Amino acid sequence: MVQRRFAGPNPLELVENPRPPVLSHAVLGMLIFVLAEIMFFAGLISAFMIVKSAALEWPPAGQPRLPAQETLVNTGALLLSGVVLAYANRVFKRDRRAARLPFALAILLGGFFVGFQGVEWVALIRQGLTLWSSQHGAFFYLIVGLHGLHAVAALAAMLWAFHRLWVGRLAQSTFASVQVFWSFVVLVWPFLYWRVYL
Amino acid sequence: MKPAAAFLALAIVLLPDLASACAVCFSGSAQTRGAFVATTILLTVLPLALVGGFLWWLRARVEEVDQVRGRVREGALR
Repeated sequence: MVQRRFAGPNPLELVENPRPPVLSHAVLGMLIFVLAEIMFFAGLISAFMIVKSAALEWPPAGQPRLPAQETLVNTGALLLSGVVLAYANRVFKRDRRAARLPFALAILLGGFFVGFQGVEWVALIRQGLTLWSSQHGAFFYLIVGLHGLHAVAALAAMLWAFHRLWVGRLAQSTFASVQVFWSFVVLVWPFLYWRVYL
Repeated sequence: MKPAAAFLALAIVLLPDLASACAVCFSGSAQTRGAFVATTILLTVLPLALVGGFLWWLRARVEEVDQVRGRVREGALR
């Protein structure tokens, strides 16, 4: 039996249809979206780097420092969720029911990340860092907030996919496209953390 | 000159504030110039790398599918 390592057509489809697509439409569409989003975040980070380079003091006087160490723990949870979701996808190809547990764990870790970010925001607002308090605050909430928005959207997609998995109606291509979205959220974060928090 | 036209001309002369021609040319320090160079390189190279990486990955995937197809055909002929 041929071992399948990717979310493509199965061998029987290859016999019936000699030229099936090498990539599902769902995954291709998600990849195009993700490539555009990477450039979007690159533009934001570029603007942030230029403004920060012109500042005499960073963070500006009277503005709190960002909790880099606490967020490092949160970063670990997010990276772990990406690894667990990739594992869930591997398991899904062999046994769909067995993929439920790692998929649920990945969603929980992602939820922990978003929840922790919310707690961090509340603490920073109490310390005086708001969208209007300084360029520091404006860029922080814009960049990290937009990443959080992507994380929430990806979590919603994962919850929807998990529901489909639970009722036995999740297609491999749907799982792969959701994984691409979540992987983007996971992999762009260390770069944002490095530029914004450190 | 009509009063309205005179008022408009006066407003054009008096109301405008100073504006910078370049919205980001607020600092000429070496650090800022370095940041401009770094971000220019980033925004130039990144899209090329993304598209190039995607095409490279797609090519590898096509080869992988062709290999699977070949093995399936061999199995079907036996």
